[in-house]
Amino acid sequence: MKTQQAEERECIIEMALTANTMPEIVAAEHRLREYITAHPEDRNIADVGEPLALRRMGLEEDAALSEKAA
Amino acid sequence: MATDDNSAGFPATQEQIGAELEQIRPLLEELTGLRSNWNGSVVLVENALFKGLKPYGCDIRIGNRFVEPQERWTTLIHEMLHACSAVYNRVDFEQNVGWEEGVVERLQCALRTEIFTRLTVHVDSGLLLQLDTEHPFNRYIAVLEQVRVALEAEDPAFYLELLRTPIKERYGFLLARALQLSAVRRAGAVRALSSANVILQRGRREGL
Repeated sequence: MKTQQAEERECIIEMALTANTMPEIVAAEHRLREYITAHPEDRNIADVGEPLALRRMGLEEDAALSEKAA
Repeated sequence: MATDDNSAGFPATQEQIGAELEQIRPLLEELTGLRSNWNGSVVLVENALFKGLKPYGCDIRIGNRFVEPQERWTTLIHEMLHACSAVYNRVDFEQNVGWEEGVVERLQCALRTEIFTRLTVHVDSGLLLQLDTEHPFNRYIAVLEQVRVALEAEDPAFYLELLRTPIKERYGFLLARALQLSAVRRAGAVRALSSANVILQRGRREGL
């Protein structure tokens, strides 16, 4: 893997694993989607999508509960 | 006996993946000594950014782009391990991402040979090496291995014990083990564990 790609990969993994707020999650998803499209041979990176998706689901659930309570 | 649609070249169906998970479940329950909470429901998700997803409920979701015959087996084992993990819930997982993902992925690597043998599944060893070498959760596995070595614990028994321990208690469980070591070994083990915990909680990479 070329150095630039490796650095991009590492950056995306870091973003995905530490994303906490919805803007951070959206940004990480965008970078991840772009990377997978540009590097279809590196599908392994999608393993990081699991904790990212779980965090999104959690925030969406919070938002739904807040809306219901309002 | 497992079937493989590789020769047909078509992506797997939801039913086929469900059947494969049904074969994996009893083997993992036997190997881990834990019961899976999987309810038999599999959902193939369009355009997902994940290979597999184990929600906190009882279903399993698979990204439809990542169902190639060779590589999906490691994903299915990984997700079924989450289904077996002790006290897998949102709060504990979000605060301890590495304590769960690192343990599960390491166990996937450790247990898959037995599962592949018993299901007569063949996955190319070169592909497995590539998947392992480039795995995004290697940062978690690396620090867990440092702790395992410092505690002089056996592999995969160390990880099986962690899987059987509720996620939020894994750090405390290992700290208790470290404090039982001799004075010479105790300090190193506690240091390794403290450093690892920074990485394993919340997914952050500081300290590496």
